[in-house]
Amino acid sequence: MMINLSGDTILRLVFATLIPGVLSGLFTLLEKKTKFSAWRYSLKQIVIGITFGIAAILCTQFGIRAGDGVIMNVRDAAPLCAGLFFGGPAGIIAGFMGGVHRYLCVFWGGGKLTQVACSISTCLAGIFSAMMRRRLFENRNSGFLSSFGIGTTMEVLHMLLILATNLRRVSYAFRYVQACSFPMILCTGMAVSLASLLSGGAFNKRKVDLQKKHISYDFGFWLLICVVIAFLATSTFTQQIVYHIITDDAELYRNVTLYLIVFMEILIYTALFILIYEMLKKKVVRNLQKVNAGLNAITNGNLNTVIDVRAYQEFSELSDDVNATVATLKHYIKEAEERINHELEFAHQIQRSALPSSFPPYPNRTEFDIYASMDAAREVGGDFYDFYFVSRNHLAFLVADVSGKGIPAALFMMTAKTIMKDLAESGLPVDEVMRKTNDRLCQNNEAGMFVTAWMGILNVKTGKVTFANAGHNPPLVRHGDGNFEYLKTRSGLVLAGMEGMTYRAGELQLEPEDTIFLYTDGVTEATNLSNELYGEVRLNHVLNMCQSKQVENLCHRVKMDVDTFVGNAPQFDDITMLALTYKGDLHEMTVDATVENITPITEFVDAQLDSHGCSAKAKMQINVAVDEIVSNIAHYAYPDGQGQVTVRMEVEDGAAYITFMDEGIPFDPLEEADPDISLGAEERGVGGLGIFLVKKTMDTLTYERCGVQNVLKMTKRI
Amino acid sequence: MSLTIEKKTGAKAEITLIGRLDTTTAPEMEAVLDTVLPEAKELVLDLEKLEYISSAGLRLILKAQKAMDQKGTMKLIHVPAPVMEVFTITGFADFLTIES
Repeated sequence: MMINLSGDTILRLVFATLIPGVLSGLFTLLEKKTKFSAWRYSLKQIVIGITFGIAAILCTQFGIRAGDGVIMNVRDAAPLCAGLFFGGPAGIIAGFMGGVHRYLCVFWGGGKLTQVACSISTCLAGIFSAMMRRRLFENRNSGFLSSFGIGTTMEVLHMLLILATNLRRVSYAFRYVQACSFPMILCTGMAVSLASLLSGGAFNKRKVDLQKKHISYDFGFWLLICVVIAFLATSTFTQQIVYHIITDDAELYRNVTLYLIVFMEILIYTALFILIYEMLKKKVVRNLQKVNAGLNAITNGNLNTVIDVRAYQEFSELSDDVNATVATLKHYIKEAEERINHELEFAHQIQRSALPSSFPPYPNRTEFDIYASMDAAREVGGDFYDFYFVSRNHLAFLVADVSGKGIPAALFMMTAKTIMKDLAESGLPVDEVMRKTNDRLCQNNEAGMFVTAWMGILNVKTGKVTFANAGHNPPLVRHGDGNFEYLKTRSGLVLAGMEGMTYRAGELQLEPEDTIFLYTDGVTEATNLSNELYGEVRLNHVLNMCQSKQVENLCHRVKMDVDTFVGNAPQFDDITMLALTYKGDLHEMTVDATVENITPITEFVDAQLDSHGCSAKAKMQINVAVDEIVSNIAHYAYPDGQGQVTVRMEVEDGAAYITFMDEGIPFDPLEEADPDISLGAEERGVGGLGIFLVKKTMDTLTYERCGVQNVLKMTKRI
Repeated sequence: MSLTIEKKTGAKAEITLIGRLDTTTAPEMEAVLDTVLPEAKELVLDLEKLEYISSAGLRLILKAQKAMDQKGTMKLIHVPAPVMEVFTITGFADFLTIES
């Protein structure tokens, strides 16, 4: 119920309403245009707080009389403005100044009715404005509407307090409230909103991005709508229902009203709750769930998922940030993968470069044929094979398998290989080689790696093999025309497992054309897509089925069979094999007929001459003879290309018998006429000298054409 | 199967052969001769450390002898017995100037 306001009263009200706004504008100007902004923060707050405090005091002193003993003012607006637009401390200072003054001013004429309520409300205005600025508005200025809302709400509280503090004199207080509520509430609201306009955000902490699509804005907007609706519903209901209660019983009236209000509030608040809950779910929770769904997809491995929730600015930014993060992570993953690939490449190189790979490795040694291969898995497994002469007539050969993968395995492989070779070349028997290798590898083996190995030493003169096995797969041996069979013997512990282990040396006698086949478990444990293993039976079978007896073909056949078996499954382990066929002390070698091979052929011949104590002179003459004959064959036997020459040699009863066989054009060197050695330098030709020398220095020289072969035989007493 | 050749070029040229002069090492010797022969008026071949010689080597010595016959002299010194024997068998000893 509004009282009639005189024109004078209205004017004064307007004036009072403007004051906080003007002050705000003033301080804003000071902040923007003068050195005021350079003052220390605390000093500024004190100054502003005191100024608005004084304004509040003046409001109290010059309250607006509205007839009927009622005094109105908009005192609360002052601390509100100070707190909302300039800083919490200023607001609190202003609030307390105004509040304390109001409390004390009863001593010089202030109204007692509203003393407590007004002072509390003014102090609270300061406190609330400070809290709001910090919490709700995050140190920015509140907008026009929010300011209006705060102003009006503050005054509502003020009015409530007036009633609450005067319950004993409720009719007197109620008259006051009924008269002043509307104008005071309205004016306070307008004062604060006006001030918000005039203060233009000079004291804002940071720039505001008031796009409508911010969730806080949108949510706040709809929440306001809900609350306003609820408020209107409550007010209307209360107004309508309560006004229609007809009774004289004040107590009954009070009780009924109470019940009505409580019931209605329960309903309205429940409705409000549901509305807010739904709004929250729709605006926030759903979008968060969409983001989460995207994140789950990424966690499950699909790194190409793009999160695209664009409902609000905040979610838009969230989507973009998540996508950027995933992109960065993908980049790091790719880099890490490349680093790993590099390392794998290195490991491969180490392994490859360490294994002898040119075959045949000893073309002038005809006592055996040897071939070996190692196909590395993607993750290098440290398999290796090796062979070398440990003395003139003893060939060591081995395969080994290092535990572990990658560069550590490759490096350990190098160490093991070197140690074994070192010890073997020093002449130790094979079981001692294993024993000492084991002890050495056990030292400094912090990584706990180990290596299995099977090593044999072949006496190329006799065909006897001494061997030792350190935890390795048993090799296969074929004697004569029989089948390949596993040579299963008790094996010692893997190398580098434990110090002080001993190994037993075994013996195996090879006759000419006997073959031994070594391999690693990369062969027998090769796995196909159905998780079956290749196995020892298949290996045995494929070796027996192989038609060719050439060592290279044997190995290739096995590899092919394993590859076929494995199919598309990935190769997990290195596949290594070594095949050696003992040829016996045949004293025969077959090589390409080139002048480059004169050297290995000569070495082959010399080896035998030396072992039979040939005289230096005879040896020299035989060397010359070999040189001449092989040169001849190399230059003339194969005019259309290249061919081979076989050199066979026997030493018996103090004489060397050397035979040269080639499949070139028929040529009898003995048919060549001897050069005329009586001619002087001038008249001499260069032809025929070579064969002439051979004829003259060798004891016998004979030629025969056998089928497609030229056969040249020479003998010489040594 | 190696050959080491020490040479001294100029009008009074010297070539010392160490090792084996055979089909494989002959090309080296030929290259040396090609650098020495143009300027030489007196050529001395020191064969003390020559282990053996085959027909390829003989060919080169013949070539050198023919060349030096045109413009100067050539002699072989410190010829070891096995090499000497080859020279004898092939009749080279008859036209080579050999000093012990």
